[in-house]
Amino acid sequence: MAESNVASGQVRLAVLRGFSIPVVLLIVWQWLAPADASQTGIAPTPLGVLLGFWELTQSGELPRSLLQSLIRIASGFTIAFSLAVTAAVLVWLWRPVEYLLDPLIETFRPVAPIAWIPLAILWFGTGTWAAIFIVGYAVFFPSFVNTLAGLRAVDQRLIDAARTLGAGRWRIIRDLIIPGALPAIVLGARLGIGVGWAAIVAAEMTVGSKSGGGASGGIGQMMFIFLSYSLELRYIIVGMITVGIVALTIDAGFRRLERRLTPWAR
Amino acid sequence: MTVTGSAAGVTCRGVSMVYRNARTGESVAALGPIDLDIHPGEFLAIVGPSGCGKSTLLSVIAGLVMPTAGRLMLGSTPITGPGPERGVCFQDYALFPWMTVLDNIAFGPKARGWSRADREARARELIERVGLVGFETRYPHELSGGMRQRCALARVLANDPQVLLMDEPMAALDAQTRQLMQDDLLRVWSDGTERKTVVYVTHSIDEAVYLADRIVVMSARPGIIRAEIDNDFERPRAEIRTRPDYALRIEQIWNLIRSDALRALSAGD
Repeated sequence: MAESNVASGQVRLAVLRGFSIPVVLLIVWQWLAPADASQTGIAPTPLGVLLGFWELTQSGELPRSLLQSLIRIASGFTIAFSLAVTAAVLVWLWRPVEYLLDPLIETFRPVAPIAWIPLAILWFGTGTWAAIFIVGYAVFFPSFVNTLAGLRAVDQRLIDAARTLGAGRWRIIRDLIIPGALPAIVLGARLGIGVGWAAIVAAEMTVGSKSGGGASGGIGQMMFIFLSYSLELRYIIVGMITVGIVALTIDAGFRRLERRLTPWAR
Repeated sequence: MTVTGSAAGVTCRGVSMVYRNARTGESVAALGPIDLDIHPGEFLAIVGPSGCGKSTLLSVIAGLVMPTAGRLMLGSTPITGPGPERGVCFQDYALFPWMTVLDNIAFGPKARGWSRADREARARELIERVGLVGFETRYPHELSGGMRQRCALARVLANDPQVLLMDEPMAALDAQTRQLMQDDLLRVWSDGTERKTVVYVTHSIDEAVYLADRIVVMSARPGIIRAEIDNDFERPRAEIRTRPDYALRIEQIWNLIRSDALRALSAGD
């Protein structure tokens, strides 16, 4: 009991420490920014940004754009992650598949997701499908690489032990390979969705520039519209902060999932 | 369903193992030829210097490694692969890290298709036998070395194997724990209605003399059987460590191994 109290106290202290620098920066920022009552200039104050949060939430613009982006990342992630796990399992089961897939994967892996934006727009238009393609592309590689590494990292001795206890192929896959590879698979998903989220914002910004704003939405495009049409810098900052908070939340969620799925690793 | 059950003997005829060095293409004779009869219900220890192939011999009997030549039989059945009738205790226990003590021990029966109720009942029976009551829901990393050892033993015994193959199972334990675990092992081995056949690989001569009915002494390069010694001390053996004939037996075996061990030492392995 005492031990866990000490531990949670340490966690609280760490959180406090993590927040101290941002808070100081915010105070300095508020103090240095020119007093501009209209809050439309190029140097908005933290309080102005806070107000912007309220305004954009009130108008429904922020929740709508955010929901749009979240739906895109969820779809892109689901499709790409399933493909990545399937591909990794195939490579793991049949080594020849690796010889076929490896050159392809290693060629495309270093190509940044945003490099695909021109082609994605040509192929899928400027809407949701282009964004899903970009996200999916970003998610695929970390998921594939980590899943394969996880499958291969399962200790041969444990497999030997299971065989001497009478386990067949499927029993070994279900009770050894899957739980053994799970931490790496979740890690791959976490890294993938992080890259995917960063890519979707970039994608929506450029997609926005092409379509000149309009129906395709998303938080990246919301930011771009404020840049090109009204120069509402504090709204853009609201967008940036939202993007950061969402990334942090997704990451925390996956870390939680990781701990829940691997209770033995604590 | 039950392939397992009463003790059975193991017969090795001309078993040998040749490795080919992938880089030089040279063939290295690692083991054999070995001719050995392991009798049903006997506690057989295999000792020898490092590199004599004693662990390889055990893996071959376990069916995890196929010998280059020779025949192996369990009773009258040829050994063609691993199976639950030959349970293996690994040196570092090889417990499944993501399973609790209970699930680790229930794994063998589960793999052989037992229902949840049956296999858990079986696991609890073994948990009681090896003294792990109260630790059912712990994960292996939460256990001490001695408790992991017990868990590994219980996991193998849950399958009620005909032969128990143990590969330096106490090597990772400290000296005091090891002595306690040796007594535990003998207790578990002899408390059933019938004694299992045990093949116990160790580098500790003392341990072999304390535990075994018979001791096979191996020499290195190639790993062949140098001597078979009838280790006929009466059981229980709790008191024999202080006896002069016990010390003499150890000395006798050490003399058989010494030159090999020295050679292994100067060869750097």
